[in-house]
Amino acid sequence: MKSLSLVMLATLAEPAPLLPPYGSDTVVIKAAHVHLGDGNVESPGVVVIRDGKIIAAGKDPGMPLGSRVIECGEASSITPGLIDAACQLGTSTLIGWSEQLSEVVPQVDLSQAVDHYSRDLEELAREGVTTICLTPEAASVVGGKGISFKTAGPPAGRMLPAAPFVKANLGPETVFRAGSNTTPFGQSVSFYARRPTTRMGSAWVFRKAFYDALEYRSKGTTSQDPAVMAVLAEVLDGKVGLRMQAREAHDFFTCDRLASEFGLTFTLEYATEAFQCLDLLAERKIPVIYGPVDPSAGLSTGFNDPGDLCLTTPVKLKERGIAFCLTAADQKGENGLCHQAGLAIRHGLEETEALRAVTSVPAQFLGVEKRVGALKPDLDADLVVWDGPPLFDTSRVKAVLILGQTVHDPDGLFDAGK
Amino acid sequence: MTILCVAVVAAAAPAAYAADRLAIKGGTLLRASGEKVENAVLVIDGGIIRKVGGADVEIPFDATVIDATGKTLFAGVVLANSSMSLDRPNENLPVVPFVSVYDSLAPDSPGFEDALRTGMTTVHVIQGSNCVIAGMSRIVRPYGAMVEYMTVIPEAGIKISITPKSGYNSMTQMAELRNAFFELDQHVQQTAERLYEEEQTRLEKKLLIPPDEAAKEGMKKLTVEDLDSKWRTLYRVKNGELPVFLHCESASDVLRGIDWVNGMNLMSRTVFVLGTEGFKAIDALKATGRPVVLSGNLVHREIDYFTNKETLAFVPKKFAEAGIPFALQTFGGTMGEGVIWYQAARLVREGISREIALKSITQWPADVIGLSHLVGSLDEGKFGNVLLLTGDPLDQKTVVETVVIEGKVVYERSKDRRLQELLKGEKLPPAGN
Repeated sequence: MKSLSLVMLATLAEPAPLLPPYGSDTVVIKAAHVHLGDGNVESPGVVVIRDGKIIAAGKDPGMPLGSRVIECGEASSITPGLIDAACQLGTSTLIGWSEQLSEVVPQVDLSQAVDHYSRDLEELAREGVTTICLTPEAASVVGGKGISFKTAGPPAGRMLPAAPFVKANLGPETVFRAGSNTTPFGQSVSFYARRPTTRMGSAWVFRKAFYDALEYRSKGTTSQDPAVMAVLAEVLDGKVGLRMQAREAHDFFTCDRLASEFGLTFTLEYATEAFQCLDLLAERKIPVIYGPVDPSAGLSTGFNDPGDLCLTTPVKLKERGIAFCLTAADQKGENGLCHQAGLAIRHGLEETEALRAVTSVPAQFLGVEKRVGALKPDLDADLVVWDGPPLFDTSRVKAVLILGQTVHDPDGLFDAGK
Repeated sequence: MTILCVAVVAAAAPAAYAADRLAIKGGTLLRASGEKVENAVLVIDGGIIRKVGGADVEIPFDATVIDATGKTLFAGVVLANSSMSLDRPNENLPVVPFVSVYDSLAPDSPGFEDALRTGMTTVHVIQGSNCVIAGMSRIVRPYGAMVEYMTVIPEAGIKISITPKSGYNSMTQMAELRNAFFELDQHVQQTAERLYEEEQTRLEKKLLIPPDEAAKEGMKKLTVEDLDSKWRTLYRVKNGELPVFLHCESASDVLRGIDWVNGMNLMSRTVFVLGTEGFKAIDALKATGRPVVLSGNLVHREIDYFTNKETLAFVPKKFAEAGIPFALQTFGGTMGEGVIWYQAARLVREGISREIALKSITQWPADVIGLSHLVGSLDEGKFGNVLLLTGDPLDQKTVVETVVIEGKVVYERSKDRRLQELLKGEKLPPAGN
């Protein structure tokens, strides 16, 4: 009785994870190849899932009795669900997630901008992208807080407890977003005309915001919006991470200089010209969320100059030991995350590395590696079944599971044994 | 003296496309059917494949030999419908059968360079589909500095659109289309009448018959050169002398198009260039027995008018299942990625056979442009258009290493400066240094 109440106490003390009630059946999924996401592959392999979690994955972890067995077939592969760490999809199509309140809006929370019922998310889920991090829009010098969530399944179970971060943008996007920076006719200076008009202006806005935050931190008061200052102070304290969006090499140096002024570390987003300053990225240990490979893609964050392109950038990042993952930004379908990884493979990145760059590495970047990104016991049962080598142009996504539930199963693979 | 003149003119004309004897040996020849010839020998002479076979095929002593050991030999890709290099794919005027892409083709366009990079050896350059009747198209090799030198077939066909041009609706589109042929008829009638009258006058005879009979008499003498140059191409189209590439975006356009073509008695010369929705009229298309060119978008997306639900259809699969041959096309590629290959691989991903996927970029587009006797496969008597690939054509890592067009090496990956720069990520010194 005592032990039972202890169990009950423990249950009460630790709030139950916000999961919908799944069936408690154990399912054994067998495939020709199981890619664990950490670079290891078991051929043939199995993944055992129960209650939305992985309980075992590998060569032959032993099968609990009475469990359903799903045979994925010859040449099939299972991988963890893919993760895009800097996605720009899934918001309301009408107004998006570009907050124009001010140039510095770290207090806004992107979770209000997500449309969990959007077609984009449905499509991402079908393509095997099971987790995305919606990255703040680039219209502000310091944007809002990014959020990470699953692309399908009951909305209540979708949000992930990712490490919080705000995104700054010192490149041309903030300048170009508003079109012309003239004051509308007959109006006084307003937010329509507030923007910095050059990179110098962006840098100044960034620097001023963090100086104000330093002052707020030391004095406890501020003439600025305290809600804004509170978040920036957390960034200064390292409690909230910092991301910088930049595509051109010279912007990377600006990012690094400004971050260094305030003793900040940051993750670089998109980084088209990363190949031109590998030394900087390696020396300063700047993690890179690279992509999309096509420089004309990712237009929804608006920029004027996509920068120079190098098709082998992922290989170069790997060779220099720079932590990187791949992103498709606003691209889906034929140019989606799977194709971005496919292109990286085409241009020389090892297949296991490419898979890591869309699973376990982005999970680490987001701080959700205890939940997703690999096929390991106790992680969420988010997985993709392919009918051939994963990420290849010829391979089809046969089924997608999120939290053990099939969210895409056109062949009825998981209907077997039900 | 006349003979001398001819000789001088011939010498001044641009050099014809010609290559010496070439033999490719040691590679694995792969056909779309999946059939393989290991250690293959291909002998190309005068631009034509003379011999295909195993290691026992004799190589002429004076042939240049390419060692393709470890490489896969595959037929050059054929693009059946492309506005590659045209400075503007569409005209402002709705009816322009008198223009020709000859005047717009840019041999130095990056499109042709990328075409070679991705292994395209035959490109049908035709105007876009935002027209009622567009101009004369041309089939070219994507190699050479002059249009004449690039040309394979100078007068390859004409684009007619059933889908309304921008600013038109279907009624105005069809009215404009019918009117064009009505005006053509009138012009032909008047010209024939005039021819008859001129002849009677020359013979100093009296004009005793009514105009329509005069026109009938005149028609016996009329040739296309008698017509105003504005109408000559359309006259040939009407007489079934030129292929018609009929653009039909939606299913109802397809049905309208079939009706119109039947009315004009042009079905045997028609190729259907479809939008993604065209597959919905697949039974009607199948009944015509004509080939189709599919949209570069392979997936048809539709949002239900009432329920707002999105449905997707993979278009090539519908055609593959119906047993209708189709040609794939691209809207131009992402640099460094052979988009036409991606499309073929995409077909395999959706469960379509490799054979169909490979035929849809070689043999079938060759059929579409009426050149299946010359291009689209590696057979004796056809053009020596050969790709040396690093592996299986649909493999993720396979790249085009060498392109041979009619026996001439026209592309080598190692000498592709732009691609090498993109791969290395550093600017190479300018050529010649």
